[in-house]
Amino acid sequence: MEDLVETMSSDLPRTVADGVTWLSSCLPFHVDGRVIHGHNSTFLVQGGAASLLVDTGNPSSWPILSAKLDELLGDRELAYVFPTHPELPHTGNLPRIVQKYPNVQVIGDVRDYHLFYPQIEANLHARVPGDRIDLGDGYEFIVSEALIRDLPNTQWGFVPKAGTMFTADGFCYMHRPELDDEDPVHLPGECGLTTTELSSPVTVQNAAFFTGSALYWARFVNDADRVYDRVLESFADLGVRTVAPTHGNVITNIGDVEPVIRAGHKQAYRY
Amino acid sequence: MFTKLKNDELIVLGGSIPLDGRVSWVPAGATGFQPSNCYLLSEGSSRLLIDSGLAVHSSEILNDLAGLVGEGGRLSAFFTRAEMDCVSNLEPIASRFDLERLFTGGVINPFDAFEDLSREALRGRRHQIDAERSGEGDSLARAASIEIGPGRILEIEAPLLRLLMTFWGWDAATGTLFTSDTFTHGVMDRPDGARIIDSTTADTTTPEQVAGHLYAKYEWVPRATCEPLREWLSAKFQELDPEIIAPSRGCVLRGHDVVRRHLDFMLTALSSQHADLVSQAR
Repeated sequence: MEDLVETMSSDLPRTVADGVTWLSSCLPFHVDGRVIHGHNSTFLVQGGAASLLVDTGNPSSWPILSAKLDELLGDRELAYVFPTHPELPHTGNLPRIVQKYPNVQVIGDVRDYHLFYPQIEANLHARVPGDRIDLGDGYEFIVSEALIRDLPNTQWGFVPKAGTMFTADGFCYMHRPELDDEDPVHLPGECGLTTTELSSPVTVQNAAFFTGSALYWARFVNDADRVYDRVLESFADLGVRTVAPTHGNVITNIGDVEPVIRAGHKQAYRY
Repeated sequence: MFTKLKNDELIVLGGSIPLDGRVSWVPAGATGFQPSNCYLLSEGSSRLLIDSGLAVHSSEILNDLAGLVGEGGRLSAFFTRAEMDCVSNLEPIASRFDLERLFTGGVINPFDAFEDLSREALRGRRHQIDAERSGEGDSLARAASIEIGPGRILEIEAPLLRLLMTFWGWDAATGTLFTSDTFTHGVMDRPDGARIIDSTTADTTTPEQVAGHLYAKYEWVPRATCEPLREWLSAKFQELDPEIIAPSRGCVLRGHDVVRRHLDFMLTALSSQHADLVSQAR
């Protein structure tokens, strides 16, 4: 089979909420002989005084990410980076980001990072759920408990003004379920679409596939309703309008998509 | 620092980390020091490194490797997981040694993280070990094997008990099972303490400690349907009868009696009744 390479979506970056810009690399890979896509997204939150990057992307995406940050930030330095958890698509570019922006604060649950990236220990700043980061002009970033996670040191983040929750590996799924072998790896405009804009809806099968892989434990734990009920309650309390997962299109119609994700989670259970 | 586990055939390298509240994979409040391990398997002039250890131990690992294989020496590498505690020394190793083959799972080629010139030179040396499955179900039985050297094979399997994609290795020649991020519960009371639990060690391990370490990372286990995991683990150990359990962190467990005892601890941690009790106590 052909050797596939991660690439930046040609239709990104784009603004998906007030102060929130979506950047993404798409990782094509083979499933049952077909090429399908998986997002490895990063998000830039820009306030009047400071900017914050959610997740860093895979190291292989650094050249384009660096160029896009230059475009978006101009002369402003990136003030904060919030890796949701320490996996390569989420932390892989940390050393390069710190090299590019020496004063950047790496915030979140930063346990283990001093062991993985000893060269950036001085930039690490532990944060706990409920901590607020003021970005200026009424924009703030709230560190949130990750209600769906794999690694225990996972956190979510919320921007109240944008109504946007960054959910790491939660709410993940594949897109373009009908992709055939002959189709090109990237079709213009699809990777950067929100769920409302997609021509084909998120499917239970795709949600189940990704949940069973990214959240492997879902194969053994039969408590999806408890988990997603708690998520929806939290979303309602906070006023979440947009969900920004690292792997998947940005979700702008939560009421339509959440039941599918939940059903996919349930379907991942095997026993 | 390195320790021979079975003559020159199997050597453990790495370092130790203080359990100071900044480590996510151990129980809250854990104290002491935990070994961080990578393993060098030698067969004649052939070498296979299993995992690359923590970046914070880069100097000691690479210096030990240089002492064992020579500066610029040739070796292959196999990563049990694509997580940072397994992969974070790849770049310095690839720079300092002749990395002939790299065996990893998943679609991401780790060399794509490298700068352009070195990436192009190395990319083709990566072998994806899970490109094809040879069995059905959640455990990828015998997905691949790696020739360590002539006549010696490391068999690779994706275990049923895992959080992210993980591969265990089985080296029949030394009777060693490489269990990555499970069986990681062995800790030391000082940084230069005993890295191996065997018949010469005062083993004070308790079932609660084993469960605490397992649940620290596998926090879903207390909520899980555990019986399939218990059955798989028990059958695997019965099939292989390992003499050595070699985790990527935590003390190495050596000797059939020690292995049996610690397997029983792990099976207890995977019993739903025990999980409930420990979960309530947390």
